[in-house]
Amino acid sequence: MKYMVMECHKAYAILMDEASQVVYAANLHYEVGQTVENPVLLQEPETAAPRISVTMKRCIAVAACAVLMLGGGALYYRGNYTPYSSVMVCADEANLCMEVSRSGKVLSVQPLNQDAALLLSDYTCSGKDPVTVTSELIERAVENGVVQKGDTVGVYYQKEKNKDPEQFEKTVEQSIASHELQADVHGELDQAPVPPAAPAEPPVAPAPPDGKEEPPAPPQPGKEEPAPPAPHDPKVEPPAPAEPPVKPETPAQDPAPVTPPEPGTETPPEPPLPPEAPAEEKPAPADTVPVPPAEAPVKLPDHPVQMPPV
Amino acid sequence: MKLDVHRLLAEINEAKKDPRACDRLIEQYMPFIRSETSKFLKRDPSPEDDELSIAMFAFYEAIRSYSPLKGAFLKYAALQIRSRLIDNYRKERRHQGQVSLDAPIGSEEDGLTLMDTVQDESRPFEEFGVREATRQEIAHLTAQMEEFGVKLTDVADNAPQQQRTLAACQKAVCYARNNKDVLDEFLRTKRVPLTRLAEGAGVEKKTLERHRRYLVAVLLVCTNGYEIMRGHIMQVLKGGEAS
Repeated sequence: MKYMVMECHKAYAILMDEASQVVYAANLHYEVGQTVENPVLLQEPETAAPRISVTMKRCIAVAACAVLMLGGGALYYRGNYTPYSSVMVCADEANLCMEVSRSGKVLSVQPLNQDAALLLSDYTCSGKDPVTVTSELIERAVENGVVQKGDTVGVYYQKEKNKDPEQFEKTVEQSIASHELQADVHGELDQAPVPPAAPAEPPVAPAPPDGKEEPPAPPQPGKEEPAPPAPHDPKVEPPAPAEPPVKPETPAQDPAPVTPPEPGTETPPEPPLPPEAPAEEKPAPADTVPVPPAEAPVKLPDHPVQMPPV
Repeated sequence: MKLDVHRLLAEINEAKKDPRACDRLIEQYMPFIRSETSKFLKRDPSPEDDELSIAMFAFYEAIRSYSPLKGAFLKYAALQIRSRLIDNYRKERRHQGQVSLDAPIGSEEDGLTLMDTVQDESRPFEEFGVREATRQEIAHLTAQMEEFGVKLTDVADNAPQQQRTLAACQKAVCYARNNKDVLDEFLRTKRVPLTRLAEGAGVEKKTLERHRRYLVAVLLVCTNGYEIMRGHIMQVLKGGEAS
């Protein structure tokens, strides 16, 4: 690229290149009008990034520290205090399940039946590894007579979540063998025997068809409830129900005949019939309160009505 | 002492705006520049040394890029000078295996150099004539630019740096060169017809606005009377992209 010297100053010269670019260059004894090659061009200072204030730097540092501490704390909590795998120990009649963290520490031991719950009374497992907990619990089981010498103790664990399954199996077997028991260690939790389920609650019996009225339905919006009778008019009866009470559904049985009344006794009065709705009565307007027709009060029987046997 | 620092800062700020003030400041600090150059060369620099020119240019760069956040100016300038001289030394070291034309041949008493034995194919008289004509063109251009209120230093400061921007400006110049009425309007009104150029060349008007002073210089070169300079910037006139 050739440059034409356009202007000369003491320390620099202004050159124009063949692409019409005008640049500053070192004045290496140039003269105006001269054509030069390979000049020492000006290095434009790089545009500095916007400066960050001290307060902002402090905030960023505090935020970075907080993120690091929270992240580290979360990782530590995840590794030590969240259950990662499970180990199930089945010692004859005492089944229990251990929750193990990623760091290989037992977080909790859950009894799966009553014997295991007795074994775990006053026992703390925090900070111990599964082998130690297994050994201690088997020792307790032997002392309590839950297992006898020569019995088989099953240990079921998740092989894929164990760092060194072979070492784990070997250690557990040695630990169990030290109590003169036989070890049966499995690397799959699915093979563990399922503990007996709790007895299911009996189904709720249906309400006996005692002829009681069903609870009143909630008032429906848009329908006006009949006004209660005025307290000063004893003749006014409450309005008759629109429908007879629903008969409870019972198995299909033929209703037994009503026992005839014995001779010599008074003829019981007929059961009160539901008052018939007035046939020709026009429906009352919506804004008026229906008032039942005035009738003589129904006389209830003195003795209870004999119901047909079911 | 504090007054001196404030005065120097004021001079630097003025030198950033005014080329003559910049020249004055450089002249004022020539002993400092010589001192820094001699530290590098391990001898006193002569006025013909390129190193002294480069040191002066580095001092000029330091004036342009200095800000009080960078510390004391003289320390900053000394660092700039040393860095520039080291860069130049590394660049020149590539040619170390070559023989200088000024190397003496024969006995020193003869005073003959290698240059005297090489046939000179250049035509110094023709070159001198061309250079003189170019100088006159440049002087004429500078005077005409003054009418537009533009100096060559303004053009250098306002020239596009990115290739994309340069290409956009070149498009506008090509459009003006192919449409004589645009150039006539430019000379008559002494204003760059930015809207016409932007619409005709299909470039952003804002881009042209940012480089108005540069466009003044190049559009003036495109008018009659600047044959040598027009020949020099042939890439623009042919409408080619900048390499």
